[in-house]
Amino acid sequence: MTELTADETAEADRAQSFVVFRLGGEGYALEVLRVQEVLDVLSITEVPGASRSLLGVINLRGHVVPVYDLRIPFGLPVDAKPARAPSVLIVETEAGNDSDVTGLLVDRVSDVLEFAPDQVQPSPQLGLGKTTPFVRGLIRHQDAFLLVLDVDRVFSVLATINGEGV
Amino acid sequence: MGSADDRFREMFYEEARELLISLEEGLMELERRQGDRAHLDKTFRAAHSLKGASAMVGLGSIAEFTHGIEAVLERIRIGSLAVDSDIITTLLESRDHLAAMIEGEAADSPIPGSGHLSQRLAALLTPPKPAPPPAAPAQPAASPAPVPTPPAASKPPAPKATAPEPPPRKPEPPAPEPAPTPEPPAAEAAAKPKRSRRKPEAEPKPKAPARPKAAERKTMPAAEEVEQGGPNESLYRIRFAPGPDVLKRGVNLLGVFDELRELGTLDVQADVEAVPTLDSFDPESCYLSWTCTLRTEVEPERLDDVFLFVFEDGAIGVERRLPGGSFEPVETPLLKLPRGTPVSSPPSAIVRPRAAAPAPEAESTPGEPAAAPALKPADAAATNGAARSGAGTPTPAARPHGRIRVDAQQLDDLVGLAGELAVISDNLQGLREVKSASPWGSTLEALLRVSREIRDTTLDLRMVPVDELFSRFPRFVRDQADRTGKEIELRIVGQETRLDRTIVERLGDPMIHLIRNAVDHALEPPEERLEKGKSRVGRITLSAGHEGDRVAIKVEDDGRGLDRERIVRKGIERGLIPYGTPADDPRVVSLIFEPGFSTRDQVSDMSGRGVGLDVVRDSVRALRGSLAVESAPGKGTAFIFRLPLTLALIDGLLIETGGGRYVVPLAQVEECVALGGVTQALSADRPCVTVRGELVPTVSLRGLFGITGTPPARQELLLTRHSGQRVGVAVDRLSGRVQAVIQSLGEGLHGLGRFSGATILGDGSVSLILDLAALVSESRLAENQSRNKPPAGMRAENVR
Repeated sequence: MTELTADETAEADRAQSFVVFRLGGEGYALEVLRVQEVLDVLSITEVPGASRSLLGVINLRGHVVPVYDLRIPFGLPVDAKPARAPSVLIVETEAGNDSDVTGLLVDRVSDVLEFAPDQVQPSPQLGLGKTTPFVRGLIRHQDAFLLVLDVDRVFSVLATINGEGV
Repeated sequence: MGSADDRFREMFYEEARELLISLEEGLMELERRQGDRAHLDKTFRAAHSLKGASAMVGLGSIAEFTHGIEAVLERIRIGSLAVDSDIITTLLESRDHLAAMIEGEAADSPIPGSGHLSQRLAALLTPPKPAPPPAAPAQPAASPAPVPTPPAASKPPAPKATAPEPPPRKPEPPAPEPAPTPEPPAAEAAAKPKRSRRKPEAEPKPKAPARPKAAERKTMPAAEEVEQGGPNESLYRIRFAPGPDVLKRGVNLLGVFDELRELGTLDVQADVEAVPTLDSFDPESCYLSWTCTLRTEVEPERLDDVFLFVFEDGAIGVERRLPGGSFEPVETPLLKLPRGTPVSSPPSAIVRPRAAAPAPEAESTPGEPAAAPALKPADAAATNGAARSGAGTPTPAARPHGRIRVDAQQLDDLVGLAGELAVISDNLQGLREVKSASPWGSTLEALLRVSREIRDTTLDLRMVPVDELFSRFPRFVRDQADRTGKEIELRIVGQETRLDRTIVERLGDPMIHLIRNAVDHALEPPEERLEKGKSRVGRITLSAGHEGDRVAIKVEDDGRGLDRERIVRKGIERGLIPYGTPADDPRVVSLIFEPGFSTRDQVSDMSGRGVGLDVVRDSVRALRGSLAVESAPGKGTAFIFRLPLTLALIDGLLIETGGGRYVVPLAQVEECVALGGVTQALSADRPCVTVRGELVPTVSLRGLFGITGTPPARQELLLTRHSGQRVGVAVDRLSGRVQAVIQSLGEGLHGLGRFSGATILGDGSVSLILDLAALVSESRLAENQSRNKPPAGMRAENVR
């Protein structure tokens, strides 16, 4: 056990890989370890009566997986006809648990980049609007900022939204 | 700390749980059929195995406590303790405590051994003894402080206790001898006071017949005393030839000798005759047999403990030296076990085939768990023993197939994969139609067939006999009967019927609910039953059987029956049925399933039926089953669960509405009619139609799902039944039948009751499975709420 913790600390010192994607005109980053794969959406089955953030369910190699549109909880504008086909990030719902995955709809996945932990700045308490609770930090990248996503917070909020059925 | 150690413990807990079940069943059976030797032995073996296993993993206190139980069983076994319901109660409570101890250990919060129960167990051992055993410390084992007695009584104490006294007192120990003969009468005598809470005064009865026989033997000990140095020592010659597979079963033969050595002075001679030459030598086979000479004070029955496990797979003969120096065969309960051998035994040393042990089992309850204790040694032996059974060991009479334990999660994964395979091959089927002349047509055909077979076989793996569910109720009913002072007989029918494992697991609570209701409210007390001209003993019947493609499980009682008058009164009071409804209206009975119906003042108001029955019904519905009730006043009530054979696969109808495709379980649809062919009965905003003259309220799927646009001219109406009433669900189009492998929608979507899951169609797209019952209640709810709101208001919020 103790060894493992040591490993983890070592891990924290090293650079981490992030999937970088665009959503509603912003750049986001998400630990690559939590992302199982990136899909191009073919067909999504709508779930009538579910929350607006639930786009529907897809067939991921024989498993039924829900796909969410983060623009609703993030308060981003939803354009009815997106210019290019959106991608779906298949994300592990709980860290280290590969049996439970959820799809997150994003506009475009652009890169996988490495950042050292000290490159991640704490996020400001104000100014990020509705996304504030979901952002874990900021990374300065190419004259712009990437918002580092806290997926666990995202999932817990999505779960409560589902519970309310709104 | 080591994980191997943990795994070892895990295995122990698993095994212990099975043995506990076996022990409980054995005890229940013991009460019912007291003379049954096979059951007694099985029960004893369960306790003994448990003791051995817990000692092996270092759980001393558990082993110690189990020993107390075992000791009592041993006394019953040798016939010096008559079974009555008090003893069984004590043993059952001890079993429960044991279960708590084991679970406590498993959960890492050990429960201390209970001195109180140990004392009660010990008390069971003492009464027949003329004097409290002064020689208690004979057993040096570290027994928990408050329990010095049980170990003493169970093992060799009998002769020990009497040792200082003159030989005439000796008749006491040979009591076991008459076991086979006096048992039936003893059993009868003890069977009568079944439920009466009588103190073990019945004690002397079974022993009475024992006396004369004991007297015959009286001379012997005296003579032996002269022959052999020790006062009560006998000399035994034990011929021991384990089966060839004994080592493969993991039996530690050295341990056998060690145990013998603990009993007295031992001399062992090995017979190496049978060892083959090197080229045919199998290092894993046992070719040796032994002749042991044991000088000991203990009763020959004690030897059973030593050979308990080896016995099943080998031959053992025990002889005792007579004063003249010749040997006479000794029969212990174990050695006697196979046939009802007469006391006059064959002259030569007895070679007993091991078919003995399995045989009584087969004759006992056919249920699966019952066979649990025999599973490890006997089954293992059955698998590889058949081929090379040695001279003295005829192959066991066709034992059932070998079984292995499988992780439930892996099994579920396998079922999922098999379903996927079936879907993929369906896809291929579609491809084949495109290129009908393709060369791999026949290969595809084979693939389709095999994948379908794999799916079916895999689904079958999930099936377990309902006995796994039923077997826990004898104990439950016994406890309930004790609690209420009623006399109840439990009958179980059709326990071999097989059902999906998940269904069997989830049916437990609903059934407990129904049985408790039956005991508390339906069955009358004995006096009342007699007054009504019924038998004194109330009867509850659990039965299972097939009804078409469903399984029906029935919980039946012969009690009061539902009081329809009262239900009607209550129903009218609560506005659930219109005033003036006659008591024979079919709707009446369904009222007891209304949420909250009669939860208050129920006991006086309507014999308590219906308490939480809505919960029972809901849990059955969640399993895609239904719950029906049949009742005749004064005759009894039956609750009938009708359940699908499996949860993993359903027959469904593929329907279309507003561009979306959905699957409706076929079981929920009674009939489909074209909506064009039926007439609107009332005005447009009261959606009712007439189907062959019957007024049927309808629900529009388009309306519920908030789909805009105009529906096709010719819609279809799926007729379903909701609370005993026909309801129609209007959909756009029917697209045919499908077999669907059901997948859960995941936790996030649990709130959506209208979908019971999702399935992947042949073309790879996902289709949601509709729950018609939930849809209907949802629309009913929406209707009720819209009375206070503008009609569209509530739905609009839910719609994207």
